[in-house]
Amino acid sequence: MEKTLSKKRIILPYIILAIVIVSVALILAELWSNVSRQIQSTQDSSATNTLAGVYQLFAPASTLNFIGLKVTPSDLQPTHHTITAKTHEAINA
Amino acid sequence: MTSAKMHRIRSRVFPDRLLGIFAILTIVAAYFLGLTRARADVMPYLMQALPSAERFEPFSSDTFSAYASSRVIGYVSIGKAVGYGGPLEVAVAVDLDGNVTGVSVIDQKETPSFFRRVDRGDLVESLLGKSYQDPFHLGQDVDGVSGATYTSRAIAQAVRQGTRQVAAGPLGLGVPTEYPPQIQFGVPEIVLIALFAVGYIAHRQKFRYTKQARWATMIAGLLILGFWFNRPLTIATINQLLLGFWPQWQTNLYWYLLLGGILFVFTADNKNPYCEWFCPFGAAQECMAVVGGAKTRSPRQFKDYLKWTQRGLAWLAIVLALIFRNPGISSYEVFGTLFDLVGSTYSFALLGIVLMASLFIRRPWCTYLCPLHPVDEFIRMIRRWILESWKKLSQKSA
Repeated sequence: MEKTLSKKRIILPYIILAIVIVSVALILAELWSNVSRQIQSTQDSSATNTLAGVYQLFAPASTLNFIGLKVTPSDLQPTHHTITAKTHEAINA
Repeated sequence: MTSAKMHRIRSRVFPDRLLGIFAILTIVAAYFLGLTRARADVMPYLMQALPSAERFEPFSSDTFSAYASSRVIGYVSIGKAVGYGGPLEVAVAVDLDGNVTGVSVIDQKETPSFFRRVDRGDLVESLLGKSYQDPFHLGQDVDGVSGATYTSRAIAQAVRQGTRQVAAGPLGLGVPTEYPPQIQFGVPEIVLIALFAVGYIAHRQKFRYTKQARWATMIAGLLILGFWFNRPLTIATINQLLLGFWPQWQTNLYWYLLLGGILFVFTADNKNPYCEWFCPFGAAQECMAVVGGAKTRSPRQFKDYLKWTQRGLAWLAIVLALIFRNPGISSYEVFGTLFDLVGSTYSFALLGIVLMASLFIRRPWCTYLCPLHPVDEFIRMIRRWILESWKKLSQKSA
């Protein structure tokens, strides 16, 4: 009986740790999915610039499939304040 | 107090305060970084609202004339309102008679799972064909999406504003007088005031039935604020506060009562009147604890890691919201998932894990994951720090 109790005492902290690790992983996945959706939907210039920068890093891949966005090289040119309807279509493709 | 004990306390307080300063600095930096983010280009949304247009020309700062074959076929105006999470902007296409022909949401700060509900519903379609003379009032001539009332109301208000901008501007029509919105004071507001009052009375030293009063407030919180109205306090509310997205008080009295009540009790009494007393999700976990016989469990060897993980998550949630200027983007709480069955696959998986864990750990969400707990600790730390500094200053000057 005592042995079982002490075993339980040893295992329990690890169970709690495992629960927290899995929960944190799920929370981070949720945050990531929200953030990537926001980048897609706001389609602002900073997002486009970031993607263009990331594309240059990963060249010569023909298509960038990063955080769920499929963007081809011709669609992405670094911009400063505006993005065109063409880029918007490309991001949402 | 022995010097060893003092040293131990100081060695714990010092990193907490240092990291507290780091948190404040990064949150301020995130706020300014968010401000510098470029505004979304509205042109694609004008096209979405009025696809038959070949080109747009600005009529005023918020209204554009739409042309096809060199003649004006309508106007698109940017309407604005404040939703649940913050400002919301829509592009509203209006024909030459002042009727809505298209709507496209440009920017919104709503909780993603709730906005998806509105997006998939037929709210926007139901606004098409409406005239600038229509009231666009929820429950009157517009049917809101159940469970997303604030968002539905904001979209209807923004569309009305856009439509009337066109009517009063390029169309030169007389628009109905805008009256201030009606004050929304109903069951949730009354229940909230009652819960604060019961909590206050039960905290008095001579009160005998504190335990029973606490269970009564928890059950009321769970059933009314949780399952009935789904209005728990979330990190999105804190983010909204930090971003300065203050909603209209007439339609968001609940929000002001909840925040004002909590801040008042915190400042006056250094007590959190919400979490232990009527947080609906806390109550749900405690009900599970009764079923499973859960106990407070805090593994000593991992205590610091778990504490800092929770603080890190809260920090990340606030920083992301400020960078993206969207209070709801980082609201990872599973409250809506339980009370309204809305959420992503991740949320449902997380909810399942938390509810199962609640059977043998008392309030696992509050202890290890809730982002509001570190905010609570942070406010207490700042309050203590200010009081200590004030005491030292007054001792020096005496």
